[in-house]
Order: sequence, then C-alpha cells, then structure tokens
Amino acid sequence: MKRLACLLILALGCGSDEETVPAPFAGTLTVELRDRADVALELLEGDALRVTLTASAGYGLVPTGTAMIGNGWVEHFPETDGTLYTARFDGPAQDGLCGDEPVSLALSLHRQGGNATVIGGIACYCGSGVWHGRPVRILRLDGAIPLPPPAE
Amino acid sequence: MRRGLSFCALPLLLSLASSARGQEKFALQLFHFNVQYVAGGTLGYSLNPDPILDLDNDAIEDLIVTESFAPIVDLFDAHPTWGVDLEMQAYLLDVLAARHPEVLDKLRALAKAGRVEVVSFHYADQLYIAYPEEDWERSQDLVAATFAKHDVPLGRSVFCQEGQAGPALAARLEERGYRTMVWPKNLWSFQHGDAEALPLYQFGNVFLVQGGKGFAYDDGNVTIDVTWTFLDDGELLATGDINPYFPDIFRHHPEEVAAYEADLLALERQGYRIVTVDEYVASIGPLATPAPATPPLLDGTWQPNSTNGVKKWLGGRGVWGAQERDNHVRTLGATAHRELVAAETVASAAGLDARERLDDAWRLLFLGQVSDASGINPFRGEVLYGLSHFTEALRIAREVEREGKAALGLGTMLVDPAGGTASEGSDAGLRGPATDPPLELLVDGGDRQVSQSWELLEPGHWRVAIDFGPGEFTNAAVTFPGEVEDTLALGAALADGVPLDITRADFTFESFHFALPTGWIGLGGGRFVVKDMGAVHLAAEVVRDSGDVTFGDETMAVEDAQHWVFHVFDGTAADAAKLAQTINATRRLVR
Repeated sequence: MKRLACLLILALGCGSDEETVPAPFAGTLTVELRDRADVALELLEGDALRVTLTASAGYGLVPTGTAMIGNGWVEHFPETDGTLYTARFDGPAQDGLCGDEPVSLALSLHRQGGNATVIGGIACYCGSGVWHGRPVRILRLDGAIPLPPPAE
Repeated sequence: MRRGLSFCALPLLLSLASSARGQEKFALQLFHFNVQYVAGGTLGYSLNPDPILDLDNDAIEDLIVTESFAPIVDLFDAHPTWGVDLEMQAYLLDVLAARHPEVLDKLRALAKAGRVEVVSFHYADQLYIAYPEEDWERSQDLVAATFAKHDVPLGRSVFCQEGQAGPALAARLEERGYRTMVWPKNLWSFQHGDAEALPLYQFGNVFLVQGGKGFAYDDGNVTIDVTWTFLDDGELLATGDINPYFPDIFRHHPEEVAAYEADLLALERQGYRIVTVDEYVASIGPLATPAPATPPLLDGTWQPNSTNGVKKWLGGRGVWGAQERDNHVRTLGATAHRELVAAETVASAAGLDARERLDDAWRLLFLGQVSDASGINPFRGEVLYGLSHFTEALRIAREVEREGKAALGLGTMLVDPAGGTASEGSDAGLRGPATDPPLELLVDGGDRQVSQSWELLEPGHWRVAIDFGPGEFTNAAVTFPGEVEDTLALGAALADGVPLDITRADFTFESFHFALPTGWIGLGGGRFVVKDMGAVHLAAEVVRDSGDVTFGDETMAVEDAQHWVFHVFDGTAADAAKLAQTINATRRLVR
C-alpha cells in the first residue's frame, strides 16, 4: 500500500522524498484492436513488478472500468535485448465464457530493446488460481509504454 | 490449382480413354482446411466497428466449420463410393469436439470407413519449415495424441499448411508412419520447370505424388489417367470462392457444392474412380513402378511465384504492409522456442513436475507459429495473435524457470539445454571482444541510422550486430558477400544438424528464398552466415548465379528501432550446422 500511495503521489505530480521508488511508467494500449486498457508498470524490488490495468471492455472476462492490480515480473532476455512484463490478476466471475467461475488473468507484454512499443495479451483461464491450461481466450494488447528516462 | 483449371485437362484425358489396353482412371481431391484462416478473428479487420464484421476467434472458427467444412463432409457422406482427402491442423479436431460434435462424429465415421482420409502433419497451421525440428516433433506428438483422443484415424498422406514441403520430410514421414507426400506442383515446377508428372515417385522410403498435377501415363501395358478435381483452400468451394475475412458473405452456397458434385458424377460416369490419395497409391502399386527418385527438391511453399517463395512470411510485405511485423513475429517465435527448451532443462534438473504446464506452453507456441501471423497478407489482428500466444508461452516458461532456479538454490542460473544442466553461472558464451569486420556487408537501412559492431569469438567465428534506428522507411536489408560455387550448403526443414548440399545446376530458378530453420547457409569458400533467430529471422535470398546471400525486411515498424545479429563462421558445413543449433535450437541462457 505504501508503494501504491507513492504511485498516486507521483501521478499527481507531487514530490516525494522516497528516492528508492522508481517512477512507474504507463500507457494506453488497445485491447482486441477496438478497445482500450490503461496499463501502469511499477518496478518493485529486484525484478518484481506491480501492474495496474483498467480495461474499457472486458469481453465477458475482464472487469471493466475498475483498476485491477496484479503482481508479476520483469523478465529480461539479454541475448535478444528483449523484455517481458508479466502479472497475474485474480478476476471475479463475469458471466461470460467462464460462466459463474472466477477468471484468472495472466498478462504478458513484450518489448524489443528500448522501443516504446509493447505487444502481448491477457490470457484468460476459467477458475481461480489457474495459470496455465487452454485459455478460453487471449485478449490481444498492443500500444506504447515508453520506458522511463534512466535514473540519474 | 483451382478445380476450373484442373478440369481443363479433361478433354485430353477423355481422348486417351479409348485405349484397349489396361486402363485406370483416378480422380483425386484434397481440401486444405485451416481453421486459423483468420487467426484471432476478424475483430478490427474493418476500418470502423461493425458487429456483423467484428467476429472473434471462435466465431470465425465456427463459420469455417458450418459454412465450408461441414458441407464438404456432407457431400462425401452422400456418396459411399467416393473418397476424399481433408487436410487440417489437428487443432481443428479440438474445435469440432468442443463446439461441433455432430460434425466430428460424421467425420470419424467416414474416416473409419476409409472414405475420408484425414490428413494432418502439424497441430496448428505452423510455419514449421522456419523453426527448429523439435517444435515440429512436439507438434507431431500432439497431432497423434489429438487424433487418438478424438478416435479419428490419421491419414497416411501428407499435405501441409501453405503446401510446405522439403526434402527431409521423406525421413520424417517414414519415422511417423506416413506413406505419401503430396508435393505441390508449383513448388516442383518452380524448382525444375514444367514437365509431365509420373504416377508415383520414390521419396526416400516413402512415396510422393505431384499434388494438383493431372497426367496421362502410358507405359505400353497400361494407361493411367489422373485428374485432380480440387487442391486448394477447402474453405472456398462451398462458399463460392469467398474467404472467411468476409464473414458477412462467407456462407454455404449449396449450388456451388452441387456443381462440384455434378462434375464428380460426370467423371464417375466416364470411368474415373474418385479416391483418396492413400487409395490411389495402393491401387497404383501393381500398375506402375514408382519413378526411382524425385529430382533434388528444396524447402518451400505451394505458390512460390506469387509469394516470392517463403519471403512473404519472413520479411515480405503484403497488402496490409504497415500492420505487419514479420521479424518481430518470427524472432519472438524463435525466442519462445529457446525458452521452452530451457524451461524443459530447468524442470528436469530441478526435478519439477512441470509437464502439464510446459505442454500447455508448447501448444501455445504451435498456435503462435501459425503462418498467417506474418503472411501472406496478415492484418494487425493476426500479427497480434501470433505475438500474444508467444508471450503467454514465454510467461509460463519463465515461471517454471524461476521455480526451478529457487529449487536448485541458484543465484544466477546458466541453462545449457544441450548438456541438460542448470547451474550457477553467468556466461552464456557467443560474445567476444570488438574487432574489425572480416568482410564488408552491404547494408541498406533507408532513412534509418545504421551501425555495425563486430566481435571476434574465436578464430574464424565472428558476431555482427546491425542496429537500425527508428525511421520512416519500412525496408531494410543486409547482403553478405559470397563466392559462387557449384554447390551450396544450408540447413533444411526437419533435419537440424544435417547439412543439405545442393547443386545449383540442378535447379531452374533465378532466385530462391530459404527459411533456414536453424538459421545457417553457406557463402562459399568455406564460410557460412548464421542468423541469431532471436534477433533476426528473415528469408535468405540466394541468386542462382551469385554467391551473395541477402536478408531483407519490408515490414519494419516505423516507430521502432531494430537490432539484428548474425554470426559469420569459417569451417565445414557440418560444423556450421552444429553452431547454428547451438545458437538457435539449444541456446545457452542466463536467467
């Protein structure tokens, strides 16, 4: 919660005396080419990552209009100069493809080098805590999340 | 290959039908179905949102089944004496089982009766000739498991997505119990010119027929007339040549099926047996000795003239060019391959029970490797379909690796798939000190800033990184200078580690594009270039009368920088193949 509070402070443009907290970086991505999702990536200790995602449309699988917060990792691919951002979200039942079951939502976004472009998706699995199997749908994401400027 | 063209040969065949000697007539038909025809669905295909046109993945799959697949099954169900080959990715059986069980039941019954040969060589409609053999081997395992699960007999003939074919398939067919390769006639003629087909060819220890090419054979004792009534996208016949990109008009037109049915009935009246490829091969055996061997053949796809070989899938621009990202799609597919191989190694070394997770991730890899994510004319939705399946496969693989790393108590983990180890370490090799270029590359980056940096890994082994800055130009290319020699060595599909030596004079093409599934090809003079397929995976263009090799991308995103990496290696072809495997099939990774 402390870091989340910090995120809000930074988002409001206020100063913070917690120098160890990197600024989050964020962008608006398209979902399934037609819709939008606001995505903020917050680097935690090591390669841990907190992701805040707010989708404009949920396709019966993702809550809409409310921020979901999930934890994951920044996965580095030094041999290809690539980065993968991941997070897991515990989604409530949406009365869609998963019926009255909760929906486990796995985010994965790939970035090439230092490009702002990120592309990936949200793999939707029926059930709680289901992080593999045959996803009922992968919602495709693409757009720009510019990297923050290097810390001085 | 359209049926209209096939029937043009009919008068000639009929004129030959009067022979008094032994006479056999066969009509062959192979419907190539691809339930990933519009991978991810048409959502976003039209400029503006439209609920009639914006159909998701499952809705498009369902249309393909109901409007184009089921009518063909019904047609052949209505004619007990007819046979047909229905080719598909095994994934289509999963779709049928999940949402169209009545169609699956009918297909199963026809297959068990030998009236339909269900042809399948890959789980998804993968561009398998562009990836290491292991991906296809695992995909093939899933094909067998899927057919067994749904109790559908797997046909013994092989035809593939986009007509992919290659010389090494002979051995793979034999190993997996297939009997006959259906080699696309246009891929044959592109390599050797147009010549009369023979009834059957020996292809290693299996057989080969020229798919789509009718002929009249006469050896003095017997005449064999063969006509192909259909070899094309199966989706097009029942819908009157409308494809699923247009879901509002992609509909079953019974009159189209009736017209085709009438054609087949006419053939039957003229003495043609309407049979499967497998039945044809069985029937032809006692009649004609197979031609002892095919001429030398190369990896490729079924319409090389219009797709510039495999270029359309590996750097070639289609009609939606600005939406394409060929190199991103294919390099991420290669990256996902490496990561899954590494995750398998880590799981094994750590004693993790990750089989189910990794099998799920491999399946996502197969789906993501669908050819349509980078060609022929992919729109953005199909590009994203491929990429999003790869990122999810990568997520699962990295989670397994993290779990294994913790179980092994490692700080920095070096994964060596070839050695089967995961241990403490931070040097994956394949890097070296900066050095001067050993050869001068021709690099064209248009308006982009271009830089090269060379490293010497060991005597006779260099690494070159070519960086392209952001720019407006979507085209870039690099040419490696080579020496023309009579022979050319390269890596072929489904034969990692085994160099294919081709003799230039054996072929008629002026230029040819190779996918290079492990990334390597000869430059002549004992020198080779190897793509680092996690960074660059574009078709290699070879000109028949030059030793140069060019890799080009016409689909670079204007806003993005690009970072290509190649290795240049002096040595033998066998060593080049081995190095390529080290770089691209069993890459050592630090995690």
